[in-house]
Amino acid sequence: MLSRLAWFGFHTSRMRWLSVIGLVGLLGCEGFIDGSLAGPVVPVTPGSRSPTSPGDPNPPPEELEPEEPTEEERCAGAGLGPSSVPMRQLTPWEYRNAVATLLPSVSLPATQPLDDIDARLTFDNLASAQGMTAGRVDQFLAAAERLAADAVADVARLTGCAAADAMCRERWALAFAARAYRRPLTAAETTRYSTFLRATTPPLDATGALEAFLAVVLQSPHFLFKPESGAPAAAVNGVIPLDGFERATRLAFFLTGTVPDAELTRAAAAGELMTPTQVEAQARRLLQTAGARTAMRHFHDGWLHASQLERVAPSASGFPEVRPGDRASYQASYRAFVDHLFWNTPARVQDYFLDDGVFVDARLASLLALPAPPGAALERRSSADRRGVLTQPWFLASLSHPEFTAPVLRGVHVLDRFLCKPVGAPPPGVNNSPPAADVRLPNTTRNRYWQHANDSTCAACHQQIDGIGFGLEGYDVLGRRRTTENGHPIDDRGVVQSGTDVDGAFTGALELASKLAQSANTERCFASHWYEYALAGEAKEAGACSEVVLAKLLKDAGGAREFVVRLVTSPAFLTRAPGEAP
Amino acid sequence: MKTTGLFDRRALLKAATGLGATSLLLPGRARAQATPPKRLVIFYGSGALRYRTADGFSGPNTWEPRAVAGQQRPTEREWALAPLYAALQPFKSRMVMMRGLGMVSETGDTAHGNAHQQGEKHALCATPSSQATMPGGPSFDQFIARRLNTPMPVTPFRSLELAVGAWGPQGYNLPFAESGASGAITRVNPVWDPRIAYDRLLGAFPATDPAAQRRQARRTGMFGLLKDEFGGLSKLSRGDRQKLDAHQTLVRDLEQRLGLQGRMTCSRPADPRATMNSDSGERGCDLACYDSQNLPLDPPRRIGWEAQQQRNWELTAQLHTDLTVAALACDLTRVVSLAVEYQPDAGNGFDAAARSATGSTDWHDLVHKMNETRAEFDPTSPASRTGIPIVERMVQSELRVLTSLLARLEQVPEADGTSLLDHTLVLVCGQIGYGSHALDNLPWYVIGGQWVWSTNRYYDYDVRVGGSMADLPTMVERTNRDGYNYVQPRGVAHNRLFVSLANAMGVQTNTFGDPRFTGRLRGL
Repeated sequence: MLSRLAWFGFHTSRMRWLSVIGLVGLLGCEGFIDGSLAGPVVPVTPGSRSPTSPGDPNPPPEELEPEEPTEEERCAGAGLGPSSVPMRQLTPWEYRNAVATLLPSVSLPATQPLDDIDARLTFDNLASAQGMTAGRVDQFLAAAERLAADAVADVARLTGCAAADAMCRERWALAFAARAYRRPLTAAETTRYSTFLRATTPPLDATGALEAFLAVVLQSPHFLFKPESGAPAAAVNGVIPLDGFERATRLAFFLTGTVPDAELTRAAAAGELMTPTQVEAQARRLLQTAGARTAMRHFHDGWLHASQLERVAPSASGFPEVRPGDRASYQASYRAFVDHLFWNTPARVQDYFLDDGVFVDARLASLLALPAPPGAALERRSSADRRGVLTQPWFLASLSHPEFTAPVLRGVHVLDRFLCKPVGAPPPGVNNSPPAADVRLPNTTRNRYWQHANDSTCAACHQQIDGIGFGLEGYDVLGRRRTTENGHPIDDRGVVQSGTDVDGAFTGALELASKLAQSANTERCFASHWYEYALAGEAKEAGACSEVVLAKLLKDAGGAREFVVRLVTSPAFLTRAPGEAP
Repeated sequence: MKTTGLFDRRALLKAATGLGATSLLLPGRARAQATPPKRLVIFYGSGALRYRTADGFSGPNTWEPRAVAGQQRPTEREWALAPLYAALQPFKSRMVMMRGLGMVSETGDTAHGNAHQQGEKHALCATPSSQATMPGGPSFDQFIARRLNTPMPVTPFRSLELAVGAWGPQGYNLPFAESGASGAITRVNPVWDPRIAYDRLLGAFPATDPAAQRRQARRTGMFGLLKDEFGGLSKLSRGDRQKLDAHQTLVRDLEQRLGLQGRMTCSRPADPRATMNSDSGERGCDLACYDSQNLPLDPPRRIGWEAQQQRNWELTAQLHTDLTVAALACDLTRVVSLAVEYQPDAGNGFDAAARSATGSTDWHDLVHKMNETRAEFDPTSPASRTGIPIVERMVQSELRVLTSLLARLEQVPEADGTSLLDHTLVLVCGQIGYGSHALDNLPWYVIGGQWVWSTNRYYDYDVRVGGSMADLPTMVERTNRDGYNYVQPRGVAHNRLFVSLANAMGVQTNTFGDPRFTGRLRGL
């Protein structure tokens, strides 16, 4: 509510005035309250409060209600608390990355284990939504057996050991388990595993034992879960520091999407992950690796809902210029854009919403009427029509129906992902298929949705949703700039009514982009998304002030790339809250 | 093998001919047992039905049984299938039709999604939910699967969930859910690609060759070692410990289930890959070119993606049917759910001209409009004359899959000379009652169960016996606590149907889902 009035130019610490202004607005500047003549309500503006006199029956509201500190004021000096999310489980994406790291000589079908994460989640790793079921256990068995069988098809290549060198193979197997578990094996484990690998009875030979062993490791809870007990003895005020290996696991999966590499494991073993400075050094090193590009893109996949790109399917009759395979060009453009933003700019909110470039290959260049790159590689083209994510062709095309644009999907996306104002489901009983054109009105997409504004059932939510989506009508199903639709001029006036500092009227995507780029809410939302991805939990779990603190951390860092480092060196990342007693 | 498009032409023909098809993967004989076990199939359709006939609003719903000659209205013993359901005639003697059931458990929700989400939450879970899109309890298929496999597993897989063209891409989920670790409700997502389903089942099909013996030895060793993996995590919090304990229980259960495979006697079905190949032969067809969710193909095949969608849908449905029959016949599982939804437009004639004539943007919209009461969608209107046959073709497509499955189950002999279908209970159900977002008067029916109740029956549970749905448009709307208006579901709670089905499956219970409703249905 505080931010709702920011665009009126009020200072946030004076937001108590909001209720007065709202009341004035409802009553129409002067009127009656509770049926009694209360006298004219004096419009109140900050800094020019009406004078009061002793005995005034209508004292100004601030005298009725003592001022409370703003959220920012209340949270001044607060830090990020330890996270208290439940034990995390490898996501299907992490599982595939991990086995690709651990067993580079074998490959797993992209569908194994089945990616059954709820597509409505922003990020696939939300710990509170994870759970093991009979079906998933079946899948892990199938994947583990397949990987193990493929791996032992060439034991020499797998282990680097001579065929007769059983000790060498055993050492390799033990090292494999340690790497999969992201920690040294215990003495008991070493003994148990060695015994298992040596005891071969027909029909199980040494290779069969190794195969079974690999399958065990790949189904072990030590691999599939990320258990964290920390070092309770070193707890300060109940906050438990994670041990070096647990920190390495968090760092590796967040920054590279897979198990720790050799250097990170060495640092953990050497006790070199115990101070923020040490962690920072490793984080900066990891961010230079190829895995970081994969992992940072995975953040964007969730934040920007990249799986929607699978839905890019312009109708063949409406857009005959579209060719088979063009969807891949949009997907490539998306990848190039987010890679560029994260790695070639500081990755500030402003960069995401103001960048004037589009990455095109020959096909996309042709569709967008931009100069085509000479080779197969995508090239960046600046354009006055483009300003950040909102105007990206992949963004617009993925949030379109086959024959016309999807202002509802576009509006929902902006509210949910950029302003952290998720929209609820339509009421039961509503036909939520996109409406057909109304023959009584000019045939524009905006007019299709006239009922949303005129039906009170729809209007409550759709004024917020469509108000944003209509502002993007200057771009068609393919993400091309347009000024007319079916011969009618485009009306891309929009309005944001989100209860944030972005609220207000705007015209066109470029103006909305500017508003988002300047918004403290957008920045806070962006920072919270990073926390959610890094910690697999919700930002509020790190304390009541966490969202404010995260926003400040992002601002101070000067962009997401540096923010990532600040995040992993914060107590939220390096410690854990005490759980229930074992 | 000569092919056209993605798939083998012969396979397509077989898929298209439905009832008369001979099996691609039919196992020779169901697992030999003294008394064949009971199986459960949940056939989950799209609900693309109409409640109006061409007579307008005065007659029975499109799907409701009709009176036999000389009678005023259908009775419990004397009834005829609606013309829409004519394809079910060969199975009528095994059927129980019902009228007047509703998802009454929906009234207990404290958070509501839209009608589809309400439907997906309640169709099979039937218990109040505190989340807009998450069921409040396990689904009936999972409940039965768990009970059948408790205290000891009886099949290598507790259950199998398959889907073709389901609504996942539209943001809707299928209704399958189970109580996961720590009692939390977890979605059970089905498999769309028959190859993935086949691969998951493959390891459990019986085999006696040396390779199978080695695999068995490996598994014995593997589970022995895996058991000890759960011991070294003593410092976890109680919640995390519970999570781990639940995992351990599931692994133990898996070991026991897999141990059952050695007793199988039926043969392994063919790999679906044999009938799914690339059109050019230049490369194998992987998920990039085969999209069983009927999304536009990228790149489109020679025949165009709309026609390809249709082929994919039909063949996927057929292959899933094959796997369902094989899994049940080999006793790999006793519970299979088959979701058959979201058909491609091309196969039902919903082309650009039909879109224009009906003013509909997609099939979901079309089904709604053909159920609306506005004058422009009067059954005799030009829009309806185009749209109604399309909706009815959608129903027929789903029925072809169902009747194909039933015919195939009937062809599999059990050891005692009966057929697999004689021991299978099939519930035909869906997310939405019919095409107007209704969660009441569910057009559901049951095939099988003659071992506990009389079949070839029609039970009308509507409190207004003999009434019609003519007054549906005037049904009282209520406002839920979220401020949404919704049509109050009414009728007999479908929880009672689940109690009847559970009892028929040998699972003793007097309640399923919402505890407000106990006991079986009359007649069942």
